This record gives sequence, structure tokens and C-alpha cells, in this order.
Amino acid sequence: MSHFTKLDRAQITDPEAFIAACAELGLTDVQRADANGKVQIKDFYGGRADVDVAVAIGKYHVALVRNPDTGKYDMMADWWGVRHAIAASGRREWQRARDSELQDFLLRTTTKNAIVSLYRRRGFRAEINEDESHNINIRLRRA
Amino acid sequence: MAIESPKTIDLEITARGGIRMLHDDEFDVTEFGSPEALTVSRASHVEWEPSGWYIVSAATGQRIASGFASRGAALAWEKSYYGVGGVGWPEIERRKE
Repeated sequence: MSHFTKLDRAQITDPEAFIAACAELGLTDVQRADANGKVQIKDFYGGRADVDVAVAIGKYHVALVRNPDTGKYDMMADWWGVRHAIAASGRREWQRARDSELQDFLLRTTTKNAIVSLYRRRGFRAEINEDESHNINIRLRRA
Repeated sequence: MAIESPKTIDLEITARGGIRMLHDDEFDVTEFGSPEALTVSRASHVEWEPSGWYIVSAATGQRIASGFASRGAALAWEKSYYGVGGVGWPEIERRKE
């Protein structure tokens, strides 16, 4: 009677969950778009990009841009630059990592934060465990 | 009077940012992603015979447990078996449809 449910890759729905994930990497310089408009950052090519959330590290940013078709957010960054800036800030393990690993870290951590936050509001507590392969097990228990 | 255990929902966020779980109506996975990226596949069948309810793996067609006095007991065992970290959980890797 049971069914397995699999979502290949989550999408970002909660900007604050993303901001909290960035904070785990020591990235705390945050700008949020306000009612007056979006935040402008420099993109990879030196041009300007309008984003909804920008988290700075040195001259680089990790940003969220709201996708008008889905209503969810896409990440954008000069991933190589951000990763090396994080490594230079003392988290040397990121020096030899791949850019995709940084993206994966942010997506899974943001998803974890979003789930825990949403279900806390719905009356659940969360028990969280991460294994050696970076899979995150969550048990939500109604309080 | 029986005391019910509090409701629990178990799920796994994969290293690449996917979500996997045994389906639970109280957790809408599409709140975190596109329905087009979702796959739902049967893990098992729960059937009845005079000696009680029994459970058949959808992957292998093999009976994996039997003799449950109630359907509820069979479903509870199934949830433990196929849930995150359970003995049957690795079958989720092989389910494509």
C-alpha cells in the first residue's frame, strides 16, 4: 500500500532558509530586495543583475532570483569566485571542492531549513541527522 | 485506553538537494519543488488471507511479511520496513516509475 515519493532536486521557496544556509558558511552580509525594488549586484561578466537576495563575500555574491514562472527562487553566483572566497576566509576545505558541491551544500541546507521552519509552524519538532555521504535524515514529530 | 504515538514523518534530503520519503499525505513534497520533477512509485501491496494480512514487495513480487491481525498493524510494519533507514529503504534507489 505504500508508495515511494522522490523529488529529484528541490527548489528554493524560502529566502530566509537560504540566508541561514549561507550563514553556515560564514556568509552574513545580506541584502534583501525591498518594496522599492530589487538588489543590484555585479554578474560574472561585470554587468549588473537584479536579484531578490544578495549575500556578499568579498567582491562576490551568492544571490536568489525569483522565477516568475514557478514562483520559486533560482540561485546565481560566480561559483568559482564565491567558493575560493569562502576558502580564503578560513574554510579551506572548499579550496579543493567542486563548484557543484557548493551549490549542492546550499540547496540541501536551504531545503532542510525550509522544511524545519515550515513544519515547526505546523506544530512539529524536527530531529536531524546527516550521514557521511551528506544525506540529511529528518524526523518530524508532532509536538 | 490505548495511547497513540505522536504523528511522525520521516524524510531524507539527498546530498544533491533532492527529497525522498515513503509517501505521507501530511507532507506535500510539491511545496518544495515542481510536480514535474516528482516520481511516485509503489513500494508494496497489502493483501488479506484467512490467516491474516500480508505484505508483498512491489519490486520483487515476494511476500515479505504475513500474519498481521489487522490492516493497521500491517501498514505500521510496512512504514517501519520501507521508511527512511528501514530494511526496505534501499529499494527506493531501484524504483524508476
